[in-house]
Amino acid sequence: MPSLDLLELRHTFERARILLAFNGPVSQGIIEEMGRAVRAHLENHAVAKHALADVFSVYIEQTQNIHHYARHQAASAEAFTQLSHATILIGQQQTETPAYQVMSANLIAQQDLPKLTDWIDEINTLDAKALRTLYKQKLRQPLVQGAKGAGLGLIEMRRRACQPLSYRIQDTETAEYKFFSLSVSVCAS
Amino acid sequence: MQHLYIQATEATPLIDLNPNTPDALRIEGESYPENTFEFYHPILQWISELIYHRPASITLQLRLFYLNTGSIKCFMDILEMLDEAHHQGVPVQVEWLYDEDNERALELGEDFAEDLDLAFHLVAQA
Repeated sequence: MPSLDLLELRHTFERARILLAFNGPVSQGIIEEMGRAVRAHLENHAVAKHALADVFSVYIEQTQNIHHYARHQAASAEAFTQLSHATILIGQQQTETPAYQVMSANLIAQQDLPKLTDWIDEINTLDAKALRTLYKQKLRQPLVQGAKGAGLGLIEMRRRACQPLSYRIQDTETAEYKFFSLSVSVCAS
Repeated sequence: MQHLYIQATEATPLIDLNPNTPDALRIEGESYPENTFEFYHPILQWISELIYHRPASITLQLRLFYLNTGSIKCFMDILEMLDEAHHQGVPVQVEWLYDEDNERALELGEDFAEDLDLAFHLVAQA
């Protein structure tokens, strides 16, 4: 069996202008540690403060969403291992206006997908004013017992982004789960 | 009532709520814990108890650098509780301290202030 060519993998990341990459089980510790790396990296690149805050915010919302989903959805230790396995990438977009891309992917149960994609599609139709109204409305809503969160994460991501939220769904070996990728672009200026 | 004092960590702020000095309540730092609602539950309870004891006045100083959405929700709940106390006649002040180059912290403070009737002061720091 040919061994994995790490140099080639590194070149692949570099060609795609990936600044940071992670593939494995996420935990709060990993989220904090990598978050620190994200901040340090952007500070070194003299990125505008608000862009740094936006990239960090999108990164935290994405990774904590995956972690919460795994914690609340997994019915067994084995399922938790599968669901907490995340692929996280932070890249620099090769466009005229400098932008950062915060990307993450994880397994999502087939039956949970329509609700998630409907929600993203709905958010993507809203302009800044409507997003703010929806955000404020969610903020003042009492939490539903057993709710995983306040339902603010994706709204927040869209508010920080300079393009609609982009997602992709791919098949996995099992019928139960799909591979869900989310990409959020944050403009640096 | 107990003095609720929790040291800051990488992802949770310093909590300094002393019932003997209701005019010097303080929360300061970053806030994106793993389970936000569990972390803030005792804080919400403490504030609720303080209001129940009807202090002469309340001042809460907030200096928060980054909050995840779960934390923003918890702070909205804390502030709504204080707003309710204000409506019941307790003089309440909230001081929102932000670093002057942290635009997002200012915007968040403005977002909170917009929905509240209590005295909410935005204070820029160099």
